[in-house]
Amino acid sequence: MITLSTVRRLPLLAALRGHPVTEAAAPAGPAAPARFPGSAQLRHVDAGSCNGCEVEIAQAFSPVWDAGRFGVRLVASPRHADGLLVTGVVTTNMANPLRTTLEAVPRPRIVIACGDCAVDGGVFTGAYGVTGTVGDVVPVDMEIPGCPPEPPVIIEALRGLTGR
Amino acid sequence: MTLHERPGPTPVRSSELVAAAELQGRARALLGAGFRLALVAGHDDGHDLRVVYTFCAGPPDRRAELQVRLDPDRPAVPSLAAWSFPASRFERELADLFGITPVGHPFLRPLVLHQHWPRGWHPLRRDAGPPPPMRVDAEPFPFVAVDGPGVYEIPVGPVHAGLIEPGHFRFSVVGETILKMKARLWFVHRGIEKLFEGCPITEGVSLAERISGDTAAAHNLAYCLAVEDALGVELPEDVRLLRGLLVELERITNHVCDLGALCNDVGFGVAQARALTLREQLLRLADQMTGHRLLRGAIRPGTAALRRLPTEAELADIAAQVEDLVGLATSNTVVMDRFKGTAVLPRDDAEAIGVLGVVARASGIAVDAREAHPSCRLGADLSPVVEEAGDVAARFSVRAGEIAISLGLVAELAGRVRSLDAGTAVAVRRGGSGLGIVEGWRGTIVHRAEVDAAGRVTRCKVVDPSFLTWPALSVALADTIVPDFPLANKSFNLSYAGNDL
Repeated sequence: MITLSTVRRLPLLAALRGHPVTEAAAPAGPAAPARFPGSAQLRHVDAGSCNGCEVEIAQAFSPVWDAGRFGVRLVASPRHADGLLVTGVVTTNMANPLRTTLEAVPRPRIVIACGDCAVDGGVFTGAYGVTGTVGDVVPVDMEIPGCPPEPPVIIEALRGLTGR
Repeated sequence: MTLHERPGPTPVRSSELVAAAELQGRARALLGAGFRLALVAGHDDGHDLRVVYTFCAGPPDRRAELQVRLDPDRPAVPSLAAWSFPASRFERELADLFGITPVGHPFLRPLVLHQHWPRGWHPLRRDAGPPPPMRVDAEPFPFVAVDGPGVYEIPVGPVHAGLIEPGHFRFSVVGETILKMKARLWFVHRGIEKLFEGCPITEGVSLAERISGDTAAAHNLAYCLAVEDALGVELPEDVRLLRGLLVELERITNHVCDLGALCNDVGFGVAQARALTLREQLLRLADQMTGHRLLRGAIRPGTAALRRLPTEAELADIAAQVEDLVGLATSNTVVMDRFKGTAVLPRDDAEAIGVLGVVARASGIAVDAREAHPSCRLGADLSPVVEEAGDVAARFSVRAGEIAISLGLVAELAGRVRSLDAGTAVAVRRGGSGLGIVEGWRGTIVHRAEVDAAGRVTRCKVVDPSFLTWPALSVALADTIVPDFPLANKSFNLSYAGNDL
């Protein structure tokens, strides 16, 4: 028989005994009109990242920051997406894959340059394997600065997208 | 002699200029004596070209270098591929980046530069200049086609379904069983080694921390050790302790994430949620200790500085959560059924390929640079966690065991630290070359730096363990089913950025 003491020993429930895992959300601001009110589906593209931005994007979608509660999801295919979340400088070897991935995203669509490298090249500016910033290769609608941007910064930008 | 009594890092080393004709014999002698080929670095000295072969063995810590000068008009070296698989990969890299021909290489074709890069342009030559226009008529990569009834190909990537770095995988499949997988990487080749050239030694740090962002501390430590070795810097004990502590914290953080990700890839999302929650706690601890969530900024040439140490209570809390997480996975029969027997890398193959780190230890090979090439005295708690099965379950288990040991090491190192801001002045009297070897969380990282008399890096060769371990993934995938590819790939969790540079 499952008793209360058995339940308390279950590791699955242990986390629920303490304080809530998820950070409290600030009220949504009266920002500019949202491009995708309520819901935005994003396809992530690493165009030349050191993978630092990927650590923080993963954390932004983790239970602690839970970007999903603001209507943002990372989806598996560009054909399911409202836009691209692009990290890294764009390497010469990723320039075409980035363009063709964007081509696969139905309109209306947006491109978000996430992290300093994506925005302005960061420390990789001028490297021989680099074609340029994300904006040099595809039109960029939104920039998230930081090396890497921390989860609250990523969340704030994504909330601007959904207006939640 | 136990690790406690080891007198400290005093490697036995040699460096010799050898004639090209002697190279094969000398290399075979070192390989036969238990050394591994850790690094091959091309150099363009202006007047001529030079290749450095770095061999390592340990414990005790031994490092042997062979250097060969080449005729700049006909740059060629005798290939070592017949005796060393890693050599065959380093030689393809040399051919792409320097235009140096490995004579006798059995399967010479581009590695780093994709087909659309112009032939005959070698970016690490001094006179390379800016990259010329890419070829528009480039032929596709010559994937080996597998013939037979019912065999078909699945091309995947470079853009994948998950939050993951780019690479192309070409599967030849019957039904859902993989016959052959060829990985085509270097999509995120930025040219980072060239960026090191001419960098003042302190500025190289910001590059080293971004070779593979999830390994900022270990790569930066390897860079700093290489520079300090080149300049003959004697490090205070506290510098070594603080650095060692950061590398262990980086190992814990990334291994925790991998445990969760492996569970997620068999549909056990709750463990992933728990792991990412714990990783957030670890990243915040890193931020409080160093001022950066990815442990950047704390290690610099000659110094190490922390804002605070982790407390015993914090470490105990992390240990309890890890124990819960591991128990959650290993007590679930469905999870373990998916892990066991999946993507087996046999020990013989692992040895022949020269794999490193977690992947090697999960296939029964007890390699660990913390023992072989210690840069800091670690306590008796350190012993490599080794599993024999070579499957996903073994790689999960090695990570789980290593987290427990690293938590003990962090506590022990923290107890020995006397000053949180430790360092020595780095004086540049003359230039030189040096080696930095660090057991990062994926495996052994090696940097070899040459520094001039003005304190500038003239060359930094970087070897992430991923470079040597990637080819083993294909071997482990034989007879694995396509739906288990994400699980198998995650169980290796190799760096694309660290491989591609």
